[in-house]
Amino acid sequence: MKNKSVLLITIILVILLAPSCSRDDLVLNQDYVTVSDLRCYCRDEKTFFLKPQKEINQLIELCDNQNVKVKGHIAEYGLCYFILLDLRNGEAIRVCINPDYFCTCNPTSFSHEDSAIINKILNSNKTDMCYINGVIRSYLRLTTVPTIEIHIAIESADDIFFESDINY
Amino acid sequence: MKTTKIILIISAVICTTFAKTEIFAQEKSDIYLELSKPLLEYSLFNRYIFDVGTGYNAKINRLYVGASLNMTYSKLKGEYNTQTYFIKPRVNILLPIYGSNLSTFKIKLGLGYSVISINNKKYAFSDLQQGINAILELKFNYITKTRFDYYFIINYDYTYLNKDKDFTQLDYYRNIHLVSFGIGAKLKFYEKDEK
Repeated sequence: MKNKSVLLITIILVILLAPSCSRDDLVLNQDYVTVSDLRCYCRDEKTFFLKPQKEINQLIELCDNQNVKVKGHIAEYGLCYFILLDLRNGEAIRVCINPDYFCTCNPTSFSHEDSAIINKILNSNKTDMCYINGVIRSYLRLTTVPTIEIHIAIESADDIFFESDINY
Repeated sequence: MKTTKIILIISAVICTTFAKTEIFAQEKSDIYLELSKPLLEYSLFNRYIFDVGTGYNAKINRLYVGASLNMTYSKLKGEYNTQTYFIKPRVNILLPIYGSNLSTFKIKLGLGYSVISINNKKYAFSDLQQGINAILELKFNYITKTRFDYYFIINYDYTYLNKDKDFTQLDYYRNIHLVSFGIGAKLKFYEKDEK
């Protein structure tokens, strides 16, 4: 019984002392951050299940409505969104074009600016690195396992450009 | 291809000959080959598949001192297919903490360097990162009367990457923690071999 308690305490300590992404200092709108950095900083998925509600709210406030510069490769795209990917580990984030708060797609309200963004994507090479200036939307998604959902909102074709970098 | 075949055949002949020789002398040095599977990982790359390593140890008083070269392979599942190789040369010290005629138990401490190569052919992407590397390993060695011993290992492998803002701006991702479990075989050399 005593051994079990020691083991349990050890496991809890190891989990609590495990490094956490959101404790790092990350300036979101200075240098272009990677998709992995952004997701780690804003969601802290690995220690999320241990966090009390207050810390979850703080984590949402940390990123929500913040301007961000982010870079990655484009994995797929639709009429009002595209997926920005970190090739190194497959982490991805949804980038929404002129969205409502939850990135709901409404193709009927497709504007000239929206098509300019899509055209820019269509004219780029798959291997090009995509650089984005956008705004983070962060909110709690209550499914069977609650998670922090984040996406990036962009408004004009000036918010996105491509470079043929091969490195991050 | 022919050369590879010849090397393999010669190695097999040497190994079989040595393996059948019963030895009772004191072990002086060894070369080894080991294979391990990462069980726990905290890093940017998250999909480690295996680690393969080889090395040499020489006995100096009670300690074994040696050098090793390990390669860890990681591959991203799915359509993106990004491959990551960690090349880890290290110097090691092994301290025996328990020993009998049948088995020994050793602690290994290693310090070295890690070079990480990341490639994705589909997106014409490649990157190279590097950093210091350290290992703490527990090694349970089963002693045979032949030239070969077999062992189990459990180790904690840590890499601290050099700062590169383009790679990551989080300290969290500059740290790579791996806990692995594996098996290995070593070929022993004795004092009389070296004379």
